[in-house]
Amino acid sequence: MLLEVQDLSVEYIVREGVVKAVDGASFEIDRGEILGIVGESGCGKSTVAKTIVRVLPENGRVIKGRVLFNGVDLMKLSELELNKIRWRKISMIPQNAMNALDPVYRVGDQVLEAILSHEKMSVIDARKRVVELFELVGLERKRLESFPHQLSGGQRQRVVIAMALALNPELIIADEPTTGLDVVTQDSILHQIEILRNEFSMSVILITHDVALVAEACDKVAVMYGGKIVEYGPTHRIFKEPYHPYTLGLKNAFPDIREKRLKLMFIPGSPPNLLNPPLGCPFAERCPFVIELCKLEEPPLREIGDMKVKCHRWYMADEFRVKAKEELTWGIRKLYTEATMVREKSSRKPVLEVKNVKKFFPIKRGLLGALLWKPYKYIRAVDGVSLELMDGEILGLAGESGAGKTTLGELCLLLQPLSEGAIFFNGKDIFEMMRHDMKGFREKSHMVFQNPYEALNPRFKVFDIVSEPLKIFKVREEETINRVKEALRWVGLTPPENYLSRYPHQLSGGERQRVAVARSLILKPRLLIADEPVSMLDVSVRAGILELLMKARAEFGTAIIYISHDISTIKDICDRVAIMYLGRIVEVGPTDKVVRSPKHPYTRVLISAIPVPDPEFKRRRVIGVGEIPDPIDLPCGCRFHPRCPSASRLCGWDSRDLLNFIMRKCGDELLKKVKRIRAGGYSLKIVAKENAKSLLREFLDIISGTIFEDVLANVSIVDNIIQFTLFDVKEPELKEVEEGWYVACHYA
Amino acid sequence: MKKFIVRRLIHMIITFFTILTMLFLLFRLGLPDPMIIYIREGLGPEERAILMRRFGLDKPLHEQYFLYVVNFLTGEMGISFYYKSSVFPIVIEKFLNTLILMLPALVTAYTLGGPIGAFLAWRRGRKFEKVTTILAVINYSAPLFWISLIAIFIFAIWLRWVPAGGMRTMPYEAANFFEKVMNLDFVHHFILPFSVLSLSYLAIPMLLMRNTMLEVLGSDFIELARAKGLNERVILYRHAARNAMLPLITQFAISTGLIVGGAVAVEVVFSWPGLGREISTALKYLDYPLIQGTFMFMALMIMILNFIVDVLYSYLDPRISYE
Repeated sequence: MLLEVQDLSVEYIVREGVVKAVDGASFEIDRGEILGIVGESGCGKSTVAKTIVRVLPENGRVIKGRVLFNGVDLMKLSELELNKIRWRKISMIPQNAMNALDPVYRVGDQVLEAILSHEKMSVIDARKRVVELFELVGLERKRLESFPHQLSGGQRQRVVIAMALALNPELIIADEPTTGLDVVTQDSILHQIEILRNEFSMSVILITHDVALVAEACDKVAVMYGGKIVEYGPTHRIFKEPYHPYTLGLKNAFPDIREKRLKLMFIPGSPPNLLNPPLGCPFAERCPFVIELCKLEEPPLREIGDMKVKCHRWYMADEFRVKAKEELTWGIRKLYTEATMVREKSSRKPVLEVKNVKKFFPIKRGLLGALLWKPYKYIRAVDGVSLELMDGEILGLAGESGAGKTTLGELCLLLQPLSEGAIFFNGKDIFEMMRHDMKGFREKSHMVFQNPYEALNPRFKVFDIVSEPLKIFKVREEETINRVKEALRWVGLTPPENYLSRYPHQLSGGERQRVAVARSLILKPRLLIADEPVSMLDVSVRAGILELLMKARAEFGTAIIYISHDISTIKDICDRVAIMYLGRIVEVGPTDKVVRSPKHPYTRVLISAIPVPDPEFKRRRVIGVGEIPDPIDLPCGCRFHPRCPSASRLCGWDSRDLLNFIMRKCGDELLKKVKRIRAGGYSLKIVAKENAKSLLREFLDIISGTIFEDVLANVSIVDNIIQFTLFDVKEPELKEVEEGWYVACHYA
Repeated sequence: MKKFIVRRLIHMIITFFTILTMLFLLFRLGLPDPMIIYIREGLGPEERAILMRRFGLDKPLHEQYFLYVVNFLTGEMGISFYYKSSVFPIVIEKFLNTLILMLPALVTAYTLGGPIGAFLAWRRGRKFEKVTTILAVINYSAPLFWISLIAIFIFAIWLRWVPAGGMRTMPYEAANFFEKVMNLDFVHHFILPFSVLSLSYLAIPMLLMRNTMLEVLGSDFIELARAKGLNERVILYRHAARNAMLPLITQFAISTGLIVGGAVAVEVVFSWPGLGREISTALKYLDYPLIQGTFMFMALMIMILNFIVDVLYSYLDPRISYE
């Protein structure tokens, strides 16, 4: 065995007492294995990871247990001895890798530091190694010189992965390596981890809350709850025949993109407070199959074949597996899913009409720029979007981060002024409405924000937060109290009296988001923009919030735009889905159809990147090329063409593509022969130092047989200036392919 | 980097002319008749006209402005009413007097305060850290003039180790500034105000460094550095202190900008002939040319110091870009 963790217990000392973060965890990993540790937040997963390399915060301490790495107990080593194992043998991809790089050093140097502090190597050799590593994780060489803030989240994650690989460690601990990244980036990083395992037979501990990720990537799974490992075994067994009710609940809560789900399942309640852990089974409080014994006595870890389960009623598992599929088992009330399904389309009127809306953000040009009247450059966040939202409809808005989803959502409520276009609410221009009847519009439209930790004023009590809209609309005081209580009850915070005088910090993430929903629905608005309302929440409580959105539609007829990068949740609740890419909608249509057979290549990339919670299903990856381009200098033609796996000559290949292609083929040699290069739109000018003709011949050789041969309209040579002109191609507009299903692609 | 420095220099020139112009307008338009200040007794219209011509005040405003700018750039700032001599040498002298006291005090405070603060953060929760922090807060809250008075009382009056005030024992002879300060008599006068000032300035960098350091030590990249197997000293100095230094630099820039203003109390208590004390005297005697000169000088100094700190900052913190 490479790593054996035996009966590990870790505590944190806080002001209020002792938090038993990990209690008697045992597991093991062999060479080349991937172990998944899965569970809700606050269950001790990260603590396990940090304990293995002993980087616990100051107030943490290991109470008992051993961590044997190649037979040596890491807990007994001195710091000096441990430093020889850290990174060289065991490296780490920490949670929140976004902030794991030191902001003041170049990323290449930080990887270099990791190598040089362990290997006696010359700086030049070490540098070569860093270049190799960057290539391995798919980062361009020029990124070596970048500072962390110049890189996107995905790129930073790759740097950390490169760093983790630097010394060919035997074990990598990846703590939520993809949380916070969008599906496309997540998928390519997952792909990377699998390659490492296969090619270098590294072992990986993958810590995540994402059940689907575990199902796809891991050989073994440990399910953690309340600081304890409650179920442990091979992945295919755990997903096929789980024993522990918590595992059943967690699996339920996780949507499978392939299935048409008719119910939103979640586990009501929240994990136990480990300051004061329960006497018996930690899950007893939320378990639907609880008996008296569970509350009194902690179940032993029982071996069943190659599985280990901590449950008193393991022998009932067959029955539980059937029952767990029913909402009633979990005490979830009648759901509103059915109402979503069919509604007469003809009876609907549009609540919101977005017409060719654009939003540009100017980039600062500085004092000098202003004095010299330099033209502004713009970030084209939303670049010509038209949409209709029907009465009582839920429309999903999906796309990678940076696609402009949030900006579009805020424009719909006029939280930001438009640059161009118009938006109509119930047939009236909202810009006009805001001028004459601002309150009237604000009363009927509301927003739920992504981060419930920031959307609530920390100095306000729940009552003040929820009642604020009523105050603005001057509702009488007695009525206010009743309506607030009703709203809290409506969002499932019962009894409401317990919540009225609490502050946000006294609530869990899920409860906070419920308060936020109560605030935005208390006036029963016609329109609700929900901007990633569940992405910051634990899987087990997500469905509960989504259910509220459906309930709002069913009871108040609220039309909802649900913004999310997670298509699996969109599929669960939305009638239609619109896919955004770089400020434009590329595909919009009925959710089922779009998800089942996407027409736009981008939608295909997006949907194929979603992991499936079934270890036996082998997903086919469609890998999009590279990362989302700069929204300042957009590609010509179809804006997706540089990344499109099926781009052809009609898609708008422009001078930059041609230049990049030539540069890639020639490398640095080219720069020696060339004086100046100018690329703009469809024309590329290259000024040669000498002998332009032979240079042109060289270029044409490179181009021949590639797509650029087809898209080249004209090549001319004047003196030593070579000019390429490419065919000018219009950007594809949305075309109806079926009733109500529009795609912006020449090949749809 | 070069581009940034050039850009920043151009900004500085623009700022300089803006201030210059504002000063001009303030004094020309704000005070309708400069003659009233120059000579207080009633003047006949003829003498008045002669004087006006002599000072160039009969010329149109834009010509006056041009003259004013040219004069300023050549170091000609007019004649002090009070000293009856050219303003520029006076301002320079007083400014150097202030600088020789304040700059060493500030530099000492920051070079000592930073490392002590970092050390405090590292020893967090120990007795030494708690006691030092409390002492620093007390020191920070005590008014500067009060500490100065106590210090004078103890060391100058009671123990008689040092003189109670002044820069040199009067009378003295010195051909230039350098000669004035390069001798033991000066050090004798210098040591007490310098110590009081450094001690009083020490608290801010110390507490600031301690706080930012604690923040940085809790951040994710420090945890990663630990997991990387770097030793504690490298983590503390290469990663933590390097990041925690940034707010300290900003604070240093703010403090240096306020040197002259901050020094008034100390200069008065220690009878130190600095620029701060000079401003208060000049205001008392309505010595407009002197006030104008000192204002411009202070502005210039703040601009230069800010420039230096900006350049330093962009070097230390790559996230700062002045595009």
